[in-house]
Amino acid sequence: MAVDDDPRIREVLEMLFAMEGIDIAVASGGEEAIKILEREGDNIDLLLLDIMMPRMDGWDVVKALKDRGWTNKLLITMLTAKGDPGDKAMELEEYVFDYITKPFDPDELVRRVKDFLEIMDAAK
Amino acid sequence: MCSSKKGERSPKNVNIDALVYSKISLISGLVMGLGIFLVTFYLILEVGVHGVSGLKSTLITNPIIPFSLITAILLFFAVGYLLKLQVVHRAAIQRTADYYEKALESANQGVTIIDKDHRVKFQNSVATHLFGDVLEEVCHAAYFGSDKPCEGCLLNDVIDKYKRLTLLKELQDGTILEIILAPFLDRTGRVVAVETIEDVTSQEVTDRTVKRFHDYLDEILRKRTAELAITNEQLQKDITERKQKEKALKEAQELYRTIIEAGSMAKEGFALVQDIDGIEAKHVFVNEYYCELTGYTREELNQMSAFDLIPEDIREEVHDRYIRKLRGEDLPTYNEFEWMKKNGKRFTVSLSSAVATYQGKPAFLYYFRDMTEEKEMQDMIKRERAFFESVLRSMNDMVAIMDTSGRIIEINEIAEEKLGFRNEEIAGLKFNEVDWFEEQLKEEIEPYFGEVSAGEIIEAREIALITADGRSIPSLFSMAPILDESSGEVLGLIAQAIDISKLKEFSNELLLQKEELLVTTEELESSKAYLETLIDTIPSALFTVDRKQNITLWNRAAEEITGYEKEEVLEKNCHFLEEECCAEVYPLLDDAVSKPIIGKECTIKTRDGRRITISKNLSELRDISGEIIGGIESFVDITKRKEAARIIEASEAKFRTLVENLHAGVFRCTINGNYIEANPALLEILGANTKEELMNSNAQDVFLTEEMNRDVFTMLRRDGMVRGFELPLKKLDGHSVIWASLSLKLVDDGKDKYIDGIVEDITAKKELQNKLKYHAEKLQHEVAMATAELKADKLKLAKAYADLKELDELKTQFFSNVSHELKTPLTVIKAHLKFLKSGKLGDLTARMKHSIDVASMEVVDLEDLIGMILDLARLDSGKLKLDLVETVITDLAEDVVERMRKNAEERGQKLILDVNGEIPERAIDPKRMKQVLMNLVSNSIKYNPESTTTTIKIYTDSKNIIIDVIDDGVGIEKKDLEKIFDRFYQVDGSSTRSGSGTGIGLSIVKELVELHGGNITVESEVGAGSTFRVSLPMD
Amino acid sequence: MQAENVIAIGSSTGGLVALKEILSQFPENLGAAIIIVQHMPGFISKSVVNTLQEVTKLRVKLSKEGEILENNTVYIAPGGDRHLVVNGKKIRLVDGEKVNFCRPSVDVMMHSIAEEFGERAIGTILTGMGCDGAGGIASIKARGGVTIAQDKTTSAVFGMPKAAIDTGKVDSVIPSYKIASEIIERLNHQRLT
Repeated sequence: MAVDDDPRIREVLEMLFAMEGIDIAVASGGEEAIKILEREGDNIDLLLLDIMMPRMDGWDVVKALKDRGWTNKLLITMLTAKGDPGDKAMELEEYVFDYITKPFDPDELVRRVKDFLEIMDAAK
Repeated sequence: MCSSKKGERSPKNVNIDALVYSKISLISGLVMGLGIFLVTFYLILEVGVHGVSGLKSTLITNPIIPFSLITAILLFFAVGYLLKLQVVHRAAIQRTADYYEKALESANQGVTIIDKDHRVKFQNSVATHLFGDVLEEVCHAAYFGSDKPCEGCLLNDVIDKYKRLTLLKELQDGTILEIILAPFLDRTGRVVAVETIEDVTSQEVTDRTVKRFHDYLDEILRKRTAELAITNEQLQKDITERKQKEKALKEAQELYRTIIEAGSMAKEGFALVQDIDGIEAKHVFVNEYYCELTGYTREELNQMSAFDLIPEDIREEVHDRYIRKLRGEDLPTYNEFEWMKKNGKRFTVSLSSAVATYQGKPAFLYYFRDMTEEKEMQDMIKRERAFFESVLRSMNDMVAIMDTSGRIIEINEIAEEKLGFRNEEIAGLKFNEVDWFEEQLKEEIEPYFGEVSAGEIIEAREIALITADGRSIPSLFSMAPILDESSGEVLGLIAQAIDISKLKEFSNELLLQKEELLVTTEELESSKAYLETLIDTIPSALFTVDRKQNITLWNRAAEEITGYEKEEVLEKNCHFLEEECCAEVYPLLDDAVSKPIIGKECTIKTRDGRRITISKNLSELRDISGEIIGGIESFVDITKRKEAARIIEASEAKFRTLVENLHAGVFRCTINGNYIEANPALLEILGANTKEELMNSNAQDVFLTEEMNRDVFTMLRRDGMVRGFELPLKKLDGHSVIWASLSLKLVDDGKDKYIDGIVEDITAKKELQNKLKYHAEKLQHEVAMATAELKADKLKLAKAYADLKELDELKTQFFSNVSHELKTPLTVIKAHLKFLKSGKLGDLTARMKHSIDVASMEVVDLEDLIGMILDLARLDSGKLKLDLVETVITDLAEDVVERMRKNAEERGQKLILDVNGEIPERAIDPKRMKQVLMNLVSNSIKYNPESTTTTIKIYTDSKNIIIDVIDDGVGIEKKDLEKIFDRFYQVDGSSTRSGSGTGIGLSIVKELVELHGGNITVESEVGAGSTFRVSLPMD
Repeated sequence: MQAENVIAIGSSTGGLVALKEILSQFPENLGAAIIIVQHMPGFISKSVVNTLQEVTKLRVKLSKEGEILENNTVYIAPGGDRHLVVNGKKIRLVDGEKVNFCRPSVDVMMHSIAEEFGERAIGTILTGMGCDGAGGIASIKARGGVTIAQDKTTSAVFGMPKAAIDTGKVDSVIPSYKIASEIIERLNHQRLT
């Protein structure tokens, strides 16, 4: 699942992964993401999280997931224009598996996502 | 010994076989007979009854007959077979027996078979040869070892108990046979004994001989060994003994030597002499002292005879004793006679000798002590004793002789006379019963008798003897045993009493005198001590001199004041003190009539060179006869006192001057205000023209009001003083007013009371004070105003700061947002272009592909441009921060070269990296510095034609790390060089790719380099090439 | 062969990529043991081990309690709940509080490595947020070992490397693709002395 408040990014990610045959859900913000996870949490292996979002930023989302214990069920990768993670990142370090900056190279992103999904498959 | 196979089978088996066979044949025979009989009987019956024809029909109808007939025939054959078997069996047995018989015959040994009745059933030829024919003979028990026929016979063992025996038997002719008896089953199954006999004579004989020989040898060996052991033991014992003896001998020798030498230390000479080497009594061994005493060395003595040391006149006698002693006569061993030293001097020795054996021969050894001294001593003692005795005798001694139990035998005349007891009266009485002793003494003396009888001497006891008429005579009493000269037995007791009354008197007097003397001495001593302490305690220095002015006494105070210690000055002339008045005063020693000098002031010099002033008292010393024997002087150090006095004088003078010259008025007046004294200043203050004028006025006149007067006095009475009281005062003219500071003190010196006062005119001062106060208040006010302003400013500042911070935050946000906002569209565009290009959104034509490629490249360019603009913006607002890491710039250059190599090659250019020497690390932002290098290199590639070589040269000078980007391309014109780093400046108007057409690249490069603390310069020559030099100071 | 030299690597967010890059460049006779603490959830530990094994000639294992360190083997610390230390050349998985908000912690692992191996240790900090590993790096350096940090350009997040560099105890700051060769060079040097 990708979480980003910018619809253009959401569109790009949907198209990108659809072309690669990878199922992707999108959410526009933290609350929506949590709702989706509650519904289909078991089917989601990887989260691409934007940081700079209104109301709940990316770190808030990670924290929410950690509190619900979902960090033991999926991998989290930040996908953000922010070069410096900021202070909120310190405590949540071990839950964030990768950190990709925008602008991103779509091919590289796909490569990594495929890698992580493979790891998730093997872990099941 | 051959044993048959059959014999190995157990007897039982054989038995069974034979029996079975016989039994079977018997039974079958019987059965057969019976059968035939029955059949015949039946037939006859039938014939008889039925006739022959009837027999035939019966035979057909009745099966019994044929049946039994057949049976009989079968039985017949069976029996026949069995009989045959038996015959065969018997034959076999017989054959076997024959075989064995033959075998036995051919054996080397004799074999006999003996049955259970002990009869010999069989014997072979050898046996016959050996025993003769013994068949059927009873094997006599005696033959096999028992004298009773067949009791305990060995054969029984064999036959009944199946034992196997081996015996040796010796025949009368000396033949020795080995006989083996073994149990055996014969063909009938009976047990017999098989006897095998072998002639083992020769073997046996040989064996026996050998054995006997061996035994003999063993015996001899054992004997020898035993003997040897004994001898060995003996030898060992001998050796041990000898060793012990030797050891003992050695020890003994050592011991003797030690003893002998010890004798030297005890001043006893020792010699061992022997008649050897033709010399009589030759010194074999002598000790140290011997040599010492005789004056000869050991070597000399070892060559001499002892007789050489005996003076000639007694030599013969000594020689005679020597011989007799050697012979064994027992002579008294103690001798005192004279020997001779080497130097001829004679000395007396006491000698003890003995005869001994030394090295197997008789020897003479003797000890002697030099008696010379002793003799002299003894003589002296004798003389003294004689003298003493005579002296004693000349005194009045009373003597009493008693027996050993104390009974008086006799008293001498003097005793009778002195004590007044007659012999007749007291004879037979016990010594201590006589009333010449006090009761107590009588008791005391009682034990003496026993003691003295035992050999003790009671010496010189002082007692009091009482005369018959009651007088007491002090006496010296002693008691001694009377010894028999030869036997040493105590014959009686002798008591002696010496009248020491006179002596006592005398000694008493002496004692008294001595005591008196002691007391006087003590008194003197204590007085002396007292005096000495006194002298040392007084604070004044005290010393005495004799007529020659030498110091005879020097007390502690003198030490302290002058610094000279007693030891230093005693008996020295007192001139060292350098008393300047010495000459003046010391004639007093000569003057018979002189008065003591008191309180004279003078100076002396101390030990450490200081001159101090003293006040001294001086007087002469006279002896008992009135003669002047010296002088006595005491002084005190008045230096300090004098100094103090001087100071006081000076300060008084000063004070006076001070008071005179004070600006303040100082006065003294009575309680009522009458002036006693006033200084000139007071006159001035109060405006008096003359002193009289003032003195005539009253101090209280100066008060303006009565109240003030009263107040001041109240204060004065209450506290005893007034201090610095400021008030207006009237001058003497009655109306001028001044401000004054008044200080008063009540003085009471016991007689009078008065007031001391100080008046200060403070009019001017007061004015000044007021002015100051006014100014101070003004200042305070101004300061308060200023402080308030300051506070307001501070607030403003704080606000401004907060605003700035906010602005700063906004800026950071801005860049962040702008970055994000700019980058997102780019990402989106790139992504969509990729999607298109992938063909997964639909098939692509070549033209479509081309459009996509173009668009993609533009996006890349746009990205770079945006990056640069953002950098610029950051640089401008100071928001660009370097992430400094200690880096070796060479690494960065390498990366750049790697990246740009392809670019260069595509344009037919060369790109070289040239590093000179060791480039140190420096704090560098790798990303930014790479940017710098990339920019310079890419510029070089872009703006230069084919076959240009771009070189990145890195080296250091003493202060900097220098990176040159050198190309041999077209070069840059001078007019451009100056402005080339300016923002937005372009060398030519051409816009080539990659945004450096905007001209911001180099400006960024410059700023980045400068941010690193370095600088960038460019040199160029048109047609030759350009060098861009980045110089970074090493930190 | 019991390892005499050890390479300790700590990485966090974005570390997988760098680890793949580094491990793929090592020869199979590297001559040292490698211990890696990668911050990750426990449930993917095994998967990660497999993924890494696919790219390298060395033997990759999931660390187990009591395991003895051997050459040419990569030991991955299991993610999730225990710290990894090396004691007496054996791996120990220890319970404890989170260190630098992490468990397993790179600091904890590197401290024990520093003590055990001293001059025969090479410590590397790769991309990650936070500051886990800075102390461990300093420890390794203090005991005579060599220290490396991933550079900003190739780090997904420059947090952990920067924290390590800020201690002043980092010998080299290198891009991920050059780290393996640097390690090999340093290792040879360590083995010669």
